Parts: sequence; structure tokens; C-alpha cells
Amino acid sequence: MSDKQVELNEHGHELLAWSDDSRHDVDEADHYVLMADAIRDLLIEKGVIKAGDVREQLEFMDSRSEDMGARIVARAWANPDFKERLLANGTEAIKEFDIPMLDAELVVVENTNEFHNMVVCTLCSCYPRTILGMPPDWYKSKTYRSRSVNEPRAVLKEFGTDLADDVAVRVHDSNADMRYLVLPLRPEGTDGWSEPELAKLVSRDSMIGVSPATEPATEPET
Amino acid sequence: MVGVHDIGGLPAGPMIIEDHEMEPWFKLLNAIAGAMRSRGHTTIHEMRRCLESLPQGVYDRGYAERWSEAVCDLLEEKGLLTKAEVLERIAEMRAAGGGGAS
Repeated sequence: MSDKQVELNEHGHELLAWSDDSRHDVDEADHYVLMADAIRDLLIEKGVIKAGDVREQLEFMDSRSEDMGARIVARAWANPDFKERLLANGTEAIKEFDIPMLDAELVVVENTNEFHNMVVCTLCSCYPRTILGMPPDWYKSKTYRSRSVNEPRAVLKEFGTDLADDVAVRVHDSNADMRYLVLPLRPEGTDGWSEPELAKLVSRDSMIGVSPATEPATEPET
Repeated sequence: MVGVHDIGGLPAGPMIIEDHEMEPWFKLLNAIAGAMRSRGHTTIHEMRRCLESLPQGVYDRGYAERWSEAVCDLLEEKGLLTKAEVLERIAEMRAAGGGGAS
């Protein structure tokens, strides 16, 4: 792997060229491809885990996606009681969707006209995986991890999200015990929409807090 | 002490906003780690400590690569397998012309 290459930004600060933000050469990848197989086979042979355990885990991963999060957000937009419960105790509130949080607590943070929330895990890649699926590559990148906490507005701009100066940014640093979900602002012109209609406006990125929810293209037919 | 993982606030270049489908071998590794947790052999906190204890050079190999190394370290620490066994098995697979993530 390449060593850190030194570059300077416009302020003369050293920039680190993070090596894990790029793809890897084939030889190295092959080693780890085989390592995963080797570990699985050894653990099954030794009776530590069963083949069925691995299959179950793979199926569980496949069953998780941002659609879960979109349903939660849509219900919070449509149902004030649920929203109140969700903001008070996310872990408890999502039980009605039959979504487990495994080891962690869920904290839901609401965007308003005064505050914009954004989620990062500076230490690694903690993320509400049971609600959003696996985190995107950029979320796990060292660039996002390092910069989000000291220049969130600049990072948001690179996502095309240009916040007004009078909107404060709150950055939430996730950890193994605490996972965050952003409740984005409900788009204008969606009064009376059903939960499934609203859910279509809720992107993964809006629940991480790097973009707003999708604006409705047209009014739905009534 | 600041560990290899503690990078919040450090300067870095522009965001590379990309995402790829998870590679099958890394998905398998995640499933193995999940199975270890659900069987009660390991905890997420032990996994985190192993990730955070990796030498800089290993940590910088990449996200999936560092997870692989950390899983291996944790399993060895638990006495469930050794790194030597894993490397030996990899060599056997290579000798047999094996594929991977099957």
C-alpha cells in the first residue's frame, strides 16, 4: 500500500491522502477473500459456529435497507404521537416496526428551520444498520470521519447541501452504544399524503443528514 | 493517547462520494462476525478494541482489510483459532486453486 502522501490545502495545512478511500489491488484483495473463507471453514469445523448461523446472518443483512428508515420517518411525519415517542426513545418506538437495534440505542434527531443534524462515526463506522442497511463507502471513509466534525458545512456543500447561515449544524458522533437517525424536514406540499407516499421522499442520505428529503415533483392525484 | 482510529477533526481532502455493492467476501466476513456475536463468543466492544489496536500500517490497508485482521486477532485472543491456522488454510486453498467467498 502507498504511504501517506503529503499535500497542502489552501491554508497550508497538511492533507493526508487516506489510503482506504480508494480501491485496492487484486493481489491483496485475494488474500482477504481467501481469509474469509478460511475463517468460516475453520470455525465450522471446530464447531464454534454452524453453517446455518452464517446463512442466517447473510439473510438478515439482505433484509435490511433504507426502506425501513423511510417508513419510520414517514410515520413520524404523518403521526404526531409517533413522532413524539420516536424523539423521546427511538429504540422503544421502532419496536412497532419489529426492527431490532441489537446492541445499541437509537437516538432520533429532528431537523428544523433552526437546526440541521448530521451523523458521522469518527472512530469507525457505527451506523443504524438494522434500519438503513450497511453504511455507504463514503460514510466509512477517513475523509468523512475526519472532516465532518470540524467543517460540517463544507462537507455538506460537497454533497450539494448548502445551508443558510442562520441554520445551526449539529453533528452527532456515533458509537458502539448509540446510533443516530436524522428526521429530515417534511417537504412542503405534502399535506394529506399517506405514509407510503411520504416514504418515497425519504432518501438514505436525508436520514444520515447530508441532504434534505426529496421535494415532491407533482401533487399526488387525489 | 490518540489511537490510529481517532481521526475526528484531522484535515483531509475533498469528499469522494461513492458507494459500491459490498463485496461477497466482506459480506461473508460480516456474517461470520455477526454469528460470533449472536453465539455469545464475542462482543462489539471487543471487536472495536481489536480494530483500534491494529498497527497503523495494517489499519491503513482499507476498511474491509482491517476488519478481517481484527476478526482474526479477536478469534485468536479467544483461543478459537490461530492466525497460523488461517494462513495455513489460505495456503492450502491457493495450492488447490480455490476460488473464494463460496
